[in-house]
Amino acid sequence: MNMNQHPEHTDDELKDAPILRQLRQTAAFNAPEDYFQTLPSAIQDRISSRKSILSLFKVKPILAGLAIAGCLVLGILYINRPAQEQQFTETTTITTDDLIESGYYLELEEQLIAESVYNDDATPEESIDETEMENYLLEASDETTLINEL
Amino acid sequence: MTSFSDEELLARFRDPEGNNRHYAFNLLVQKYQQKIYAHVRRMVIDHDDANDLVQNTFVKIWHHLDNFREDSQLFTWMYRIATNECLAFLKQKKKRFFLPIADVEAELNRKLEQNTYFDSNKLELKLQQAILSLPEKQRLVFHLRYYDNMKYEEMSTILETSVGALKASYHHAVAKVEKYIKGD
Repeated sequence: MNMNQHPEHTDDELKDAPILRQLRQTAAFNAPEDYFQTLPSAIQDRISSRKSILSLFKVKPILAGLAIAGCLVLGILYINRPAQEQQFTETTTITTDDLIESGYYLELEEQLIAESVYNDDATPEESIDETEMENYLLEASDETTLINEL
Repeated sequence: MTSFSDEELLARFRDPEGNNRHYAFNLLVQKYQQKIYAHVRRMVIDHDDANDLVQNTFVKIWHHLDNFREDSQLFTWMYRIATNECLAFLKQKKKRFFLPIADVEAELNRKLEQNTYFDSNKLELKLQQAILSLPEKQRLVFHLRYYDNMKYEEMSTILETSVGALKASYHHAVAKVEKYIKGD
């Protein structure tokens, strides 16, 4: 297909250019065979593919926003939950020996120490009945102390 | 194939009730594809580059045809889009490869000599080389006047230059090209 079919031209402008006047009718650039039969459909394909790309770009900002929001929520959950669980874990692993070694027991209430002792694995002695307890107190204490207690 | 006027094609394209958009656009492409291709091809020389730019041009025409104000001829408007595509392409070429203008012209010259779809004798080759030696805008003026016989008023709309400046530019271009071919 010849691309350079020269239309009518003003000779006045070329009066001093004989070579250019001569070359007006000659061919130069050609297109491949059937190029212009297929070009319209190629253009339509490009228009359609551009439409798909543009719609994807519209969806992308929404997806990006959702992703960011999701990350923020997960981040907040992660920061909060694990720290609370850890606190409980640490207090239950302290043994009586650890407590004595640290000297921390001196700051604790008597009640707390007693509870800790009773929770040990050692087998408790048989319980003492009331008569035995009474006799023990009578033998261990003098009269004055007993009256004060009452 | 029935030939429609530009007004008829525009009306069919813009018809809100009909499904004629694609059909009207296809007719528009068939009507002007050869002229647009020839214009672009002369600027960029290589067929593959020209093909890409022609398709880009028509895609832009598709997207902006609704906004065409009809203050110029439809073909002038289309030509303007094609011209801007060519100039942007050549500018990008220079930037991408950090090429000075002379190197871009040398590359176009090389493409001219190696081109499969350039049917030339020695004189025609020399003519194209002469045209390539012109500055870009002057090259455009030469193409539009010498090959397309475009009126200066239409050219003025495309290139946003006064008619007087365009006439002067073409006059100088003719002299330079003639001198180059003669080998003076």
